[in-house]
Amino acid sequence: MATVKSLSKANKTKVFRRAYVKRRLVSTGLFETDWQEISEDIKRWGTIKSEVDTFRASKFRLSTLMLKVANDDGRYNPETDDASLWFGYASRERSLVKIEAGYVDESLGADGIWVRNEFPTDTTAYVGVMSGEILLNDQNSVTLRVKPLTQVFREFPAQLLTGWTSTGITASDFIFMLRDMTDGSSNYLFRPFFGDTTSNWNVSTTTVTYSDLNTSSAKDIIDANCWQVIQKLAESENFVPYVSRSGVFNFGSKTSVTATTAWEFYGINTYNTEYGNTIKKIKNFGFKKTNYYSRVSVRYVDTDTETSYSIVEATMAVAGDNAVWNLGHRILNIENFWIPNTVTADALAQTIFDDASVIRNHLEFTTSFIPQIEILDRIEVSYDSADKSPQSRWDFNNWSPGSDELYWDDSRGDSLVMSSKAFKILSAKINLDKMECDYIVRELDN
Amino acid sequence: MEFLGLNLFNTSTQSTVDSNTATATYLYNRDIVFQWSSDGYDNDLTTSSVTINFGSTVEVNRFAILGHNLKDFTIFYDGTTSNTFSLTTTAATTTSDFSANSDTSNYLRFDTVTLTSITIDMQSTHVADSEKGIGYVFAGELDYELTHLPAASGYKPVFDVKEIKHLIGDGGSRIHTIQEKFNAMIKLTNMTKAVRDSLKSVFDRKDPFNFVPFGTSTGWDEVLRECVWPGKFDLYTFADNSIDAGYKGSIKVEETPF
Repeated sequence: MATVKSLSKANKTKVFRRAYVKRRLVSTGLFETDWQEISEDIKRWGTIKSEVDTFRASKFRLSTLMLKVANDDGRYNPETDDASLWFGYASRERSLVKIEAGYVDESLGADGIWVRNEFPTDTTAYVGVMSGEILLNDQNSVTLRVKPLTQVFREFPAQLLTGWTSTGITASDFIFMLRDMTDGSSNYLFRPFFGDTTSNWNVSTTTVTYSDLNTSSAKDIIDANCWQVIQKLAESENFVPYVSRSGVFNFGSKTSVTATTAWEFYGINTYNTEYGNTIKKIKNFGFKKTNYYSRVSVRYVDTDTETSYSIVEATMAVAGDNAVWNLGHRILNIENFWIPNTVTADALAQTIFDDASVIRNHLEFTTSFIPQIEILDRIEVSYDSADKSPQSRWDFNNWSPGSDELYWDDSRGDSLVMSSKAFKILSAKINLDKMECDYIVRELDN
Repeated sequence: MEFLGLNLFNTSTQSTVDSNTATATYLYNRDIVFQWSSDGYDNDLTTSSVTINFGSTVEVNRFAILGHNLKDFTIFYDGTTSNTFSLTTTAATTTSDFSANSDTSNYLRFDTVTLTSITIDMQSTHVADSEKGIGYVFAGELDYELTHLPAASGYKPVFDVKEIKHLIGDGGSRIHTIQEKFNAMIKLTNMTKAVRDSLKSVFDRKDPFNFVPFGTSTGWDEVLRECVWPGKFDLYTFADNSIDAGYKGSIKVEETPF
């Protein structure tokens, strides 16, 4: 019986990629029930990318999927064109896009009946929303720009939200406020993009009340969109906001990595019968200084006095094993005036310091197609680059086997050796044209 | 070598099956791995039926079923079992009523019949008492038959596989296959003007055509592919210094996406 593991390691397998759109009805403004497949129009699939914390702590980038489609028949023309796939529907903008990708196992039974199974069980690789210009050209091709679903939070001013309480709200309350936001006529504003179900909002409950989030006219609300508020709250809670491959919005701790290993990767000179050898290239491995901070400074009061800061730092001492002495101080400055009190600021500074002050290696590598890895998944990597003798070939020989005399040193060196080393995924990229994956991962304690 | 029009069976509302209605669309999915199969008809004494209702009167002279496991089956039109097709080429039977078929694909040629529906009654299967399965059904009309055949060296059929090759770190290769497509290059020479002009009309088609190089009701090579003719039309080239030598040139066919 085929599995994702057996197909991922198989040396000749069939893969599939499918693309779908969901249009909005003119009559209700809501999405149609069924997905419309557009796979046969795709000329270039582009790259799906999701990432957290890869370039700076608590900063999140929304990568764009660029789908290049053939437009010979005008299917991607404006909705006013009767040849358009959107003719009779609402705008092409903010249509949902779904990408499915995986392995397929096909076999013809002795009874003449084909058995066809797709893997993984949930073949959804990405759900996003069309956002950006859709321009026609004389090449009869159109590029559809698809953003993660969190884009819809960018497109709504926080000031227009309702449901504030005068004493302030918690971060999770704010997310629930978004989830339950309506247009005033019981039509949800954000839920339709997330499968129209509350189960696609995976929110960890928080306890800190942000007193500044108490009214739509609060100064930090007026000029912010919902995504900016989410980012600020994520920073305060040391959380990550992201959308899973199946379109579930997650707002939870960035440090809560499951103990279960989601996937094991094997490279040169390592062997595993279950996962096979899938590493194509290790781009780089080592301590990433830019993600290391020995001093975390959280400014949580608007006035610029010493008491406005909560600082946690490592002590510098002139010693060979002192990280600060060896690396110099690296300072992470966080400015967040929503943090309500010293206790919360101290806790946040300590949490970030505990995570950022540990010297951790980062690994960036490329593999053949692995369809089911998520952000923050725990993975293990085994790799053993070719042996290398640091000395002359003369030194290889043991001149006196079985004797201690004349025993020449046969020391070897490896540039890169990892044995079931644990990491968490910070960035996962699937190149749908090359059907290969790129990962940036951060070391965990094994 | 035949150039056919489009498959007249192409929408879900046209088909009626007595089981597994959810996969009835597979009957016109050109990837035969997407196969419709019956459910609860794994008995050679139980007949399962598939009916294609075209919704209006259509003309049909070519019918094909691919990727099937049928031994005893009958194909008839307009709901009358005696309305079988009279085959115009050598076959195991003279009509579309098979009793001991061992092929997994059959291509049937017959004189044009005006009809509104075609039914396939399936009785027994190659392996006795199996569910009935059909990978693809084609119903259509001949557009042009190229009787001026190329030399063996002038016909280059290729099953071109779209694949992605991964070079793994240890130097090994891993292949991810996307899909297989049929392409062919056909070089012709000494064609008459009439042949050339007929091929020009195929070239000028705005719709794709279905290409069947060697369609036979038994021992068929199972090549029936929806194709386009890309690039140039070079069949206006004279074959020799004498105009009586006719024309030469090449036909290129490339399969369309599913």
